[in-house]
Amino acid sequence: MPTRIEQLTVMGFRGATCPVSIDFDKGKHATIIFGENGTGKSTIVDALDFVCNGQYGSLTELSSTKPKSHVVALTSKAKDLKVCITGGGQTWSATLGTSGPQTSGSKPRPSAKILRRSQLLKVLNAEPRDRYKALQEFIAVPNVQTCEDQLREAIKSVKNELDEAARAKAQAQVTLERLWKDEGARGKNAETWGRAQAATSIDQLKTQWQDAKEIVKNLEDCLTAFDSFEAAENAATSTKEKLTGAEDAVQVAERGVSADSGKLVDVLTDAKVFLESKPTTTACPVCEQPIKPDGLTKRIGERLAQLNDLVKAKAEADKIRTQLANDEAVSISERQKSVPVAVTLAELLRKSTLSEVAALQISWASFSRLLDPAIAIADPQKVSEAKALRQIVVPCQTPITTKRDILDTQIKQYNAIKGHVDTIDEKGQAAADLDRLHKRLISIHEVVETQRKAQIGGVLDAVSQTVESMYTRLHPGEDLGGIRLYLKPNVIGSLEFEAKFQKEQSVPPQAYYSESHLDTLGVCVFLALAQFFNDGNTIVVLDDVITSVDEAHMERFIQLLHDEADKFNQLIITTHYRPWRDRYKFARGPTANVQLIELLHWSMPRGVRHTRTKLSVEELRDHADAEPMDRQIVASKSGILLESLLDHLALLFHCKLPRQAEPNYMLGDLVDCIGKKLRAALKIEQTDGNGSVVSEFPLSQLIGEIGGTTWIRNQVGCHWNPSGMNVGDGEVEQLAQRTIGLAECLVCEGCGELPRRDDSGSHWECRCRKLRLHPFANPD
Amino acid sequence: MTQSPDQKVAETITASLRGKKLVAESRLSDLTKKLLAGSLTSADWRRIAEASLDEERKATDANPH
Repeated sequence: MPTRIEQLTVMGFRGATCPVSIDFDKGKHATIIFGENGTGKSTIVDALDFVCNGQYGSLTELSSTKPKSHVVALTSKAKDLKVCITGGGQTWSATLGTSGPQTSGSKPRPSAKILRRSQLLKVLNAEPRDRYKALQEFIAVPNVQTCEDQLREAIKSVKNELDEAARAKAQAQVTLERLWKDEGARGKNAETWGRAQAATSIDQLKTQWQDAKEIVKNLEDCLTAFDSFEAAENAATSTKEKLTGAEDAVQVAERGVSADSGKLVDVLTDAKVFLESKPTTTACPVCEQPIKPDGLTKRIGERLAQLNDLVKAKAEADKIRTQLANDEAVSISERQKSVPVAVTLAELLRKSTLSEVAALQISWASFSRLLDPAIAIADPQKVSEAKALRQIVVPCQTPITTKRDILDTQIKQYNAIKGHVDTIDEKGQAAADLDRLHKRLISIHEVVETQRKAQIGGVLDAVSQTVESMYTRLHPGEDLGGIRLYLKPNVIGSLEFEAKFQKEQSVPPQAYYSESHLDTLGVCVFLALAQFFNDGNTIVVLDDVITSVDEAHMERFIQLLHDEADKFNQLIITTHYRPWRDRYKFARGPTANVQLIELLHWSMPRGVRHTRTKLSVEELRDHADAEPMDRQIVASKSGILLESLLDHLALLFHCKLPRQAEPNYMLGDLVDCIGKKLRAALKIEQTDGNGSVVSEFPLSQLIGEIGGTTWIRNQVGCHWNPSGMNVGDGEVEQLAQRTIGLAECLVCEGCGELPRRDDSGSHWECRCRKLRLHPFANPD
Repeated sequence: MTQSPDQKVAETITASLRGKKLVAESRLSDLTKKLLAGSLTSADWRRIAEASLDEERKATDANPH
């Protein structure tokens, strides 16, 4: 069951300088809040916006205001601001928090769709973009739009990947083509050739290349090692020869002195070194006889000088001997390095399948000791075989190196071809997958975009049709309508609007329609949108949207509003337009379906105040029942009410009245215009609502009696008149009762409306069809 | 409760994608929720499309004729 607002309480909010509560009649669909300008209509509507929608209301549309500050009543503080609504046993409230309106209460909150005059102008006069903004609450799909934007990003991203894969594939194809041409362009085409090449096994090539590479490396190592070994051996041999010469020179020198002079030189040299190192020694270290060190040292020097040639020869021989020892050590070291390298090379050569090695025709039997790991490296035969092997393999160094390089080139070529073929395959597959993905995403996007546009277009088409239907009811036969709201293709957030004017189709209505026509058009657009998205709980609020409408349009507009009000949970209308209120006051609308609230004069100390609008018949009844009765008021109000009722009959039956520039007919004119035949035929029928007549009441007698007493209004109610002073209270009261009686006859108890609908074609009836008025046409 | 415009469009999109078999059935429920929440990312769309193509390929492999 939809929840209607039953009470609105406003504290410290805008014009509510004092707390104010408004009770809504939950039995009525519509509420009209009438108030002159400055009585608090916007305060009430903004309060509904605040509590229902968490919005500041009309303040947000005023650029010169700070809603958060100015929403607080001048006499209040922000913490005291509170707006509450109750309905269906629940309460929802809103206060002003640091971040704005803070709402509380169960969910869902009542949904209020509010149309203000400023918004109406935006709908009609604004640029398409602003018009869209004014109505985007109804038509925008921001979440779907966000997802659609992301979908476009996905499409773009996949397209980039697809292009990159295609580019890599094309690049590989170009390079393969070049390789194919470099290789003589054999075969059908580059790709066929490449695939054939890539399918070839290169295991043998790799084996041979590895073989050649290792042999070349070891051969180089071997040659280098043996070069060093040979150099060391040659050096030792040369030193040995030098030593032989030096020893010969020592023997020659010895022969020139004495047989043991060689040993003597050694003893003297040692003694000299000893004495020089111990200059204080006083005894011979050999014979322990006393000595004079200085003298002895000098003497030894003299004796060695005599043996000088021998000393030099011996020193040279000793030096060469030391050199030889070093050279032989180096030679041994180089041998220790060279022979293992030769062994490794020998093993590689023995296992090798290279033709260049085979061409050497090595007899491995001659290298049995070299290849025998049990035999020491120093073994002369092993060394000899190593040297022999080295001499044998030298000729194959260049061919094997060349072979290694050729094999290396072939393998690299193979790898390049295979790499490009693989790239063509991999990128081709990737491109195919990405192409499928891209196409799928595009298909999905087509659906998303189409559905979004169709949905919005569908809404606008449906809304346009509803607007058209409403508008032609408001303005029949005026060559207006043809209303169409639509979005321009490929333009986001722009709402176009066109209509018909006379014979011109598709014109901007704001350029040709009058202000009141535009007002009603704007209301129709809003009602149509609100109706389209009505969830049964929707409360529609029209805030002072109509400024002025002529009589005929007002009647149709009120009828339209009541027809549409039935479709919403609740319709709340504020207006400063008094004729609108007065139509209800005089039963020209279905007063039983409408709650009438009237705002009183606003002041700072008293804030927003209101009262229930009394119908004119209620006012008359109250004054007639009052004690003491105010004769003048009763007579005056009777006259006004009578004029309203008789004017209605005159209009319905096209009664003849004197032509006037302005229709200011007197009460007497209105009574007299009801001719005899019409008066006799006038009859009220009460039905059960299903077409069965429950009772009937002829009006001729009542109208006749009223016609006889209308003078009382003029004499008592309108003028200072001595004759009027002679009229008794009873006669005044009688006029009032007859007037009330006529009103009770003509105004339906059910809907509170005068019979003014001609749908039956046989009689006039009220909105709820429970009251009928006969005849249908004026017999006069 | 009447649907919001977003909700209406999200549901018609899902129904259309289902009808055209553009998105795997297993992904549609999540797709609707995220469409409604406005939380579908570029990567989400890609995964949805890839998963749908994968399922189609598996189905074709299972029933080549």
